[in-house]
Amino acid sequence: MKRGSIAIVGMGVTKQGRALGVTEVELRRQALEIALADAGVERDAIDGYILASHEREDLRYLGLSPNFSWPVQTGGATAPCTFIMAAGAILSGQAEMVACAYAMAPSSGGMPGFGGKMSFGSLGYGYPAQVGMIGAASAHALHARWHMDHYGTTSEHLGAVAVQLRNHALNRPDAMGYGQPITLEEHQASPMIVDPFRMLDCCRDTDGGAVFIVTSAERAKSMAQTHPVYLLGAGMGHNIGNWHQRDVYAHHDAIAPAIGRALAQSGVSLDAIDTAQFYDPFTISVIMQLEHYGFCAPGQGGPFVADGGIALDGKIPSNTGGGQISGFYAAGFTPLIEAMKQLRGEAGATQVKDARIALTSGHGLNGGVQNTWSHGTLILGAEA
Amino acid sequence: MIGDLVAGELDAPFWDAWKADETFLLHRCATCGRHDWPASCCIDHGQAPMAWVPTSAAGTIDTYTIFYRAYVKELAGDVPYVVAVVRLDEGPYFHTRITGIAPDAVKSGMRVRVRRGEGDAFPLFQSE
Repeated sequence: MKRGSIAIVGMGVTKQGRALGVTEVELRRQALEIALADAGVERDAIDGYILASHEREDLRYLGLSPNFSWPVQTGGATAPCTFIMAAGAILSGQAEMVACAYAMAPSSGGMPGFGGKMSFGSLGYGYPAQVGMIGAASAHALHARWHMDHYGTTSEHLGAVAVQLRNHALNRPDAMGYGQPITLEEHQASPMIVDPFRMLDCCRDTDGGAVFIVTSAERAKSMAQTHPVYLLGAGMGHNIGNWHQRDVYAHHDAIAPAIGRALAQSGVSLDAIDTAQFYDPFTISVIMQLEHYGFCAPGQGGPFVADGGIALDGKIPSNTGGGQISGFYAAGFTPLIEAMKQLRGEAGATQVKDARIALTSGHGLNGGVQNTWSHGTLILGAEA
Repeated sequence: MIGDLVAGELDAPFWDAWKADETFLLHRCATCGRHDWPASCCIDHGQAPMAWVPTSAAGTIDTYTIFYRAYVKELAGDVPYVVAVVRLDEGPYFHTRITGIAPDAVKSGMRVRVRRGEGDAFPLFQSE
């Protein structure tokens, strides 16, 4: 992909929160309306539709008439994947304007239960689920424990992430943690859930929808009322390679191929990134991604955050909306939403001054016995 | 545990051997000697040379987590419990419970071996 050939011309984000009591398809309809208005286009301009997860009823209910509708599901890496697929559709001449859509309402429903008739494939983490390895927290806890035992990272380092993210969220009305400060002492006193994660190391499921409208940079030029953000580069990696090499836990994901490709496409170096928005379901995710992206040395992610490295005046202001832990959990769309806000100057109290280039990440799914994930990186720019 | 064992059919030889006499098999490439678990293709030589072979059923703890919360009611009586990733001596990872030791005494790098004679449907490990 040539740098700056693809533009995001519309963003629609619904209310994000606990138990909204709104169906997923209705959340997507609301997000679509906002995104269409943001882009200044009508429904019939959408000629491609990409949905995070399956769709059966969306096109009918949303009143869309595209030439294709693609499901994509690779967990928290789905969000960057939808943009990559949209770019592919546009650059291969299959669409001019693609809607990338997400909505989930997990906190209005229940967690899928175990018991009854199961198949091996239905166990999210395969065989490990049978010895009680259930939930994303434990999957990440294995990486966190490895990092602590290998590098000396401490629970206080994890707490420094939680406190920093909450400090970002404090002044952001769009965040769950708005107006609710926490201290390191409160982090340390919060109950242990799955060692080494305490309650304040974990994000919570929230309901909400988001739709992005993606088109060519050429087309964006003729859309006078929009505020486009450009896709400068993209890359993906998969940690299964590290499973095959028996080196899973030193890696949060396979980030090296993802950032390598994304930087090469965008033609910028890491120091050109003004803000990073990491996928951060658990505090360790911020620490390990800072290291694997190269913002700090291996093993130094904890001290880097504790020393203010991801604060607004730090080396790389990160997860400025509070991330998933203190902001809201819209899967991989949480970092994308915040990156868009930063590049459009709409991040309010945590706006990074002169933010022109943002990095976003997502990781997830493909759990299985091996518990390895896809990882996606996007580099977005305020200019093409 | 959370109910009856659910086995993938490709791994039937592993589960059959464990059930029969607690023999612990791994899937081995006859060409290069690489072991895998569960059923796999050799990343260098494909599926043809793969065969199930008895192994040491011992290794070291690579990493672990302690569950203080029961995510399903069947596990309520088990907490706190340890799920560890054992690096088997033949190479593959094996996720299992570590038994017979206080959860907070479990450490990375600890030598562990499969537990036998307890009628475990799923192979659990204990300190060597």
